[in-house]
Amino acid sequence: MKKPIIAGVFAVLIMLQIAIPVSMIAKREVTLKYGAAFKFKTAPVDPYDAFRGRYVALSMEQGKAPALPGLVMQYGEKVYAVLSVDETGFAKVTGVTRTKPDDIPGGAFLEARVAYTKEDGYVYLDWPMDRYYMEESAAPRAEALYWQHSTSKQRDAQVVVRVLDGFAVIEGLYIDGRRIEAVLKEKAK
Amino acid sequence: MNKKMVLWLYQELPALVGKGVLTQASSDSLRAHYGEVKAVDRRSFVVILCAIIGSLLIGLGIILLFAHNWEQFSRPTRAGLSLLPLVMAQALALWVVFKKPDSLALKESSATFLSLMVGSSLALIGQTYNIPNDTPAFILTWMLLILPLAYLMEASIPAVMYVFGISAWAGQFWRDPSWSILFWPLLALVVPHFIWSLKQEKYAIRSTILAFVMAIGICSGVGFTRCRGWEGSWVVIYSSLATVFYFLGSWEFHGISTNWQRPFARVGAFGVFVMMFLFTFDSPWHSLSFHDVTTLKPSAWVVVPDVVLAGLLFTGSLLMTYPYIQRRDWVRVQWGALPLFALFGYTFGGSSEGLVMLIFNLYVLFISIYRIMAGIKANDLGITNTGMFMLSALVLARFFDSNLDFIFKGLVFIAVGIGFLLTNIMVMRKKGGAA
Repeated sequence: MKKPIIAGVFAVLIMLQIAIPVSMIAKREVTLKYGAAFKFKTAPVDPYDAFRGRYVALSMEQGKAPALPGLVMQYGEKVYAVLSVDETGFAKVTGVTRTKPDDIPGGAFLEARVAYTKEDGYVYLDWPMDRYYMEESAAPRAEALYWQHSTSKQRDAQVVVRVLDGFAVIEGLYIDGRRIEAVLKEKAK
Repeated sequence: MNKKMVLWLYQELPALVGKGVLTQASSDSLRAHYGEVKAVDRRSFVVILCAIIGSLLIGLGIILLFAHNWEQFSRPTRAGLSLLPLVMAQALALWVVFKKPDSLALKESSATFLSLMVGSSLALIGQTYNIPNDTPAFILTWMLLILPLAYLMEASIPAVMYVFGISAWAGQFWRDPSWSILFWPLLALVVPHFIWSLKQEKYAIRSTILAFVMAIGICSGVGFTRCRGWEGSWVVIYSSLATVFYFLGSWEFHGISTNWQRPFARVGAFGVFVMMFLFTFDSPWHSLSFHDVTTLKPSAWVVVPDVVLAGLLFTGSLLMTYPYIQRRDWVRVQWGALPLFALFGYTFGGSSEGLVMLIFNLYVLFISIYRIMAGIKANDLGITNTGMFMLSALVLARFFDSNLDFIFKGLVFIAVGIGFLLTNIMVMRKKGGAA
């Protein structure tokens, strides 16, 4: 190949290699800044990823929504869950649609996948939030901390998610209403 | 002709001319016949290898450092940090391409480093923003962003990473062939680089490694993209694939001097043996399925990819065996016969399992003994040893096979043992007669 061609193609490649990470960052920063905040109850468990490090796997509750009558959902199907807040302050799914809902103020709907459907008329959803990355020694301690808390009857681990236009970004993981990083730091003292 | 032998001949020539065994003219015509032999520059190879390994280790080290997860940095700092090594690696790669375009070591190592940093950047963003686990998307984005480096930098490590990457990607969809079938167009994207590398003479190890990786990639691709709508098709497909590889690798290429420069032949021969050995057991025939599960609904078109694969590979293997029948190269024909045996097994394996098993046991027994004999005849310890290895594997497998009764096994063992002793005696007598 001739040098000018190599230079041109190389320039395009470099821009792509930068543009894709940058767009990934930008989309999430925008969601964190302008998205509506929702609280989800969760149970953190500590696994490991060779590339991305340790995280707590979030097993979310509230993955259940009444199916619209006459709508048959398939496993793995992409759906939009319409979100609202229940009386305890946590996120609640009020309905599930196949098409992107555009008449909801604040964009309070979230893209999810169908985990399964049941005879009880509910659709069970897989949320797109499944990992919360933590510093390597912190992740196992976070899990231990959660289990200490959950034995005392009330489960008070929650994840706060910013939702914008169907897209969700995790803002933080909270235990007892405080950020898990802060709780762990205090415990370490 | 083996390079080492030619080099040896060239060393001998002056002495032979000096002693009057050869005339100068015939020495010159010998040199003209074999042509110039380029000695492999071992030092430059070591330099390239060290450069690649070094940049691999540094790149992986950077990924690990970031995986620690530095909580004390703010989110924007971490976002910036995830791009920093990428930009540095890009700058390095650019400098190499435009300032040091002749250094293979620099090109390969900087391309390797940049490839890893693309992955590192994507991974770190995933970590910073708690991006949901979507391994296939992560792998595919990464791979597509590094593949052009194989072409722009004429570097093969990104191509190797790409082949492994798309194989891993297809593996994520092994139960959903409607996705994994995209493995083939993705693999096609790297083929021009592979062909280019075959045309390069100065760096034969490159094409060897690439061919090896391609062979492994194609094997896993076939496995992941089969639709599994046709039970037992794997019997014919894998047998034919191994045979096709075996014959592809047997083609003559310029500059090939050792068997290790024939990765397709190696992978193919290994595959042929594994398949024929597997077929001596009863489990493949019990039910002709092989964990055949798919999320695709059974319908007519589901079997189409399997039929196409089986048809192409089977026909291909027959066509490639034919020239060796004409040349009476029986060692190769024996290996090329596997797809026919496999088709027979597929057809009758369900109904008369015992017969098919017996045939495959005799087939492996025959091939291994033939190899041992051929190796002794040609004084080639390699062939003898592979024959011995195949035979030992077969013997061990049958000895521990619980499905045969002891009397039968005992009699067969004694018969084979007597056969061995007889051949031994025959070989000894032949040698004695020759001496």
